[in-house]
Amino acid sequence: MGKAKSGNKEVIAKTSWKKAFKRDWQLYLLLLFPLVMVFVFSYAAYPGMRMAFMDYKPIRGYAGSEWVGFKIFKDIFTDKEFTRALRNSIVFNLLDLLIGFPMPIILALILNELRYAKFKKVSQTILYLPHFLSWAIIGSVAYNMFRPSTGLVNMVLMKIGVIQQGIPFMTEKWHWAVTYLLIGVWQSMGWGTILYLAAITGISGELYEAAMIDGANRWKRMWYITLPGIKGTVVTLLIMNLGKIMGSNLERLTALGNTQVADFQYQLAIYIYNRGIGNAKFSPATAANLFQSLVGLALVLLSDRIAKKLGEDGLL
Amino acid sequence: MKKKTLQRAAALVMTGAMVMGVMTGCGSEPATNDNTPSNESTPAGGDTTPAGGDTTPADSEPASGGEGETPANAAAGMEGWTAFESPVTLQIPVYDRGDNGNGCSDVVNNYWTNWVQENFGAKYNINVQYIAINRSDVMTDYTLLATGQDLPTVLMEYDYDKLATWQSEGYLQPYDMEQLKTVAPTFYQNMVDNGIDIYTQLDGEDYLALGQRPYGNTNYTWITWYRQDWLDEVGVDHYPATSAERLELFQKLVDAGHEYPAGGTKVAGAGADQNYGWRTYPQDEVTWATTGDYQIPALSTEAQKRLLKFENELYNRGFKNPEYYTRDGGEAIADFINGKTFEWSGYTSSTLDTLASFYELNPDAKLSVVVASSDFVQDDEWGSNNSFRPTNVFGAMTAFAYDATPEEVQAAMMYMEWMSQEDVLFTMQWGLEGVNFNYDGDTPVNVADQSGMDEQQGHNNNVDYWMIVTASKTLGSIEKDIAAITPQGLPQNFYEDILANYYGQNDLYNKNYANSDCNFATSFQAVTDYGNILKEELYPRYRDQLTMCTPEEFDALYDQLSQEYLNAGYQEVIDQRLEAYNAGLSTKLPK
Repeated sequence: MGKAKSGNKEVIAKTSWKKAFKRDWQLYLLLLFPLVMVFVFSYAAYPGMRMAFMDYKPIRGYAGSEWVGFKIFKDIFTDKEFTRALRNSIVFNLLDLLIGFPMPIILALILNELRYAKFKKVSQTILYLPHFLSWAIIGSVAYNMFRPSTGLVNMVLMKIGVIQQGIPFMTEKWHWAVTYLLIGVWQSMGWGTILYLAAITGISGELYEAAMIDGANRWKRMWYITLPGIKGTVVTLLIMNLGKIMGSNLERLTALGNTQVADFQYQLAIYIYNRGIGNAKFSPATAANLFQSLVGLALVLLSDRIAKKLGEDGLL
Repeated sequence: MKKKTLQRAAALVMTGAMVMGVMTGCGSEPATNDNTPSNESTPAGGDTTPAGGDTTPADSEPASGGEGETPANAAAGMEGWTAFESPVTLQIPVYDRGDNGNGCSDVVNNYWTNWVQENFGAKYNINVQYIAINRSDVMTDYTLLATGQDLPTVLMEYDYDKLATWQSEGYLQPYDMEQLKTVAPTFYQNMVDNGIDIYTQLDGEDYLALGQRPYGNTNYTWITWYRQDWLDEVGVDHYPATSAERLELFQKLVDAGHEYPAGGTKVAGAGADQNYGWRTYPQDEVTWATTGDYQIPALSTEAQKRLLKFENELYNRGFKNPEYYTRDGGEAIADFINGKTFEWSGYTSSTLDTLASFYELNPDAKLSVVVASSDFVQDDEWGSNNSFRPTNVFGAMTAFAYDATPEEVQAAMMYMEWMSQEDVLFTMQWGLEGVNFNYDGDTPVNVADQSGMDEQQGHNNNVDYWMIVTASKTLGSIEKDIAAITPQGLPQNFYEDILANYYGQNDLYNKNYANSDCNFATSFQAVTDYGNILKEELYPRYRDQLTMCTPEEFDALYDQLSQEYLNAGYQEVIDQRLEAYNAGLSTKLPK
């Protein structure tokens, strides 16, 4: 069904799905790929969630494992290690959101203002690169850069006399927290600008021209045209990011962690990996993961509702 | 028009390729539920026992009584074998050691895996497939395979605890000893001749088929090399015999400008912080049985306290790299190669890249090998001594996957028998004459650098393929065997010292100052439930806290963390082991 506006009268052109398919079958065919991906890797795994309600034994399979109701959930909620992992996950994800979310927006605004096209392209490419590095590499580089006495940064700072003793960027939990968050921002901010830059290109050039004629400087154009122009995208991405508040990235935590920062490093991804894969306890791992996902979903729905109440389009 | 048709065709091909790509990623169907033991068919109280019916393991279906699938006559070892009528797939695990290996990189498809297929598989209509197992994370790999209902036909490991855990988790099926005797008489006889056939049972049934381990009462292949030139430099005439002497030496080395001579890396998984050299000998049997293994670090024991207190001393006196907990094993090797640390330990073999690289970078350096004294030496101050961990009297343990069919079990036993044949074992261990080894008189000597050859052997002369039969090569005498594993092509020859180390360890063992770990004829739920968390999650954290606290804080912190460790499951492990020990389900210390 297609909708078109002609003056004040809305004309609705009805198209049957057969006609639509015949006309755009190549597009539908291409759509098949992501649909199969989603089905196979998301929905096809759903039956596995049964494990959260069973005393699941891999060898016995679903048929042979015993149903235990909510016992597994009760067990994990009384497990202090789970509580610690949950607390750390929430705190660090909120901080990630607080610091990491505005950065791509700011960066996109800055990039958009660059006038020298070649410089802009090179900058964008450099900013995107960290996204393609694996966390194992980033972790290794980070340790070589930030170790207290043999890390490059500390060595340079000590050499030029700025500090007498190495800063424990990676080896003291509070310093680590800052390093962990900033490395996260560095890794993701460039890539995060893509959607905002795309949204910015959708803003009509006439608006900028009119503003310039009215004497608006660059800052004002950014504030009154660009930012409102990408507000919808910002809200959508914010809602999506709120859904990740309970999540955590095992690779990032493992690559950047060590025993001295275990107090903060111990987040849900580690709890789930250790219990599930490491200790072959799939039921508590699934229960923790399910809980994580449900809270994430609830947060998305809630923020979507709030956004709509505030007059935004929302996500759903 | 033509362009449009082309676009359509391209879209069709691309979509098809992408969808097929996704679908192939889904893998094969898991084993059917018919092969999965269910609650209903599991005998009461026998959670770990495979169900009967269709999945009944080979014990109730003798090898020669198959339905046309098994060889017609398997009653007389290899002579009696005939090929399977239908192809049988035999999956054998093989360690993938990644960067730490010194053999060919593709462990599942190389000259030697093909050689096995050509000389064994093809002959008996068996498709031999090797399944790579990450050496540094064996349990995880097997868990994932079990979860996917995709265990290989046999499970193999050197650690008794792991097999016991798998049995407890239901990964294994018992086998028929009579069938093993019939199908694999050479393998079976090796067990009998080495006196290791008494270790095959778990919970009253035969689960384990054991490879042999020549000189198992020692640990003679694990060697420590140290900087003799550094000792000479600081005027010390012998390798430290006690921990007190060791500290004195490190102080002298630091004073001479060697920064962090003790090196240091983060603690890594199973086998970390073994406290054999910190125990009181003769050992108390209950302490040995309940906390004496090396799978779960024995935090809360006196021996572990001594060990960690020494680590604390190394750290606080600046002998150990203060960033050790951020450094991995690879960095420790790099430190030694780069001439930054005093010593390095590893398994010796005729081809040892670490030493070759060391001499390349330090051509004037002089190394020596730590030789175990045959006299027991106890350090009055630290309580440490020169004891060591003898390996098990048996080598690798092989068990059959719970869902292996009778034909697959039989094929596995045939593989074990075939690999036990002298000529086969020799070829797998030494390779091809003129390619992988040459004779020096009547002694084969491996070619040190096999890299680039099609016939390049796997890690440590293919050990991961023939470990099913024996843990190490033997030429009939310790002198010849040590000659064969002495590193070749180096400026120094360590043969005499490695041999002397063997004799020293052997003497200590015979004097009862070194004891193999206690083995239990049962598995422990507490080990399954808490073992990994204690070992991987808690111990590394507590250990580093204890290493880095001030010496004044150490005792109180040790007590506090020990209690937390016990509460987190270690007490339950100890209690269950004690119960089994009291029930007579364990080996005993020699009298």
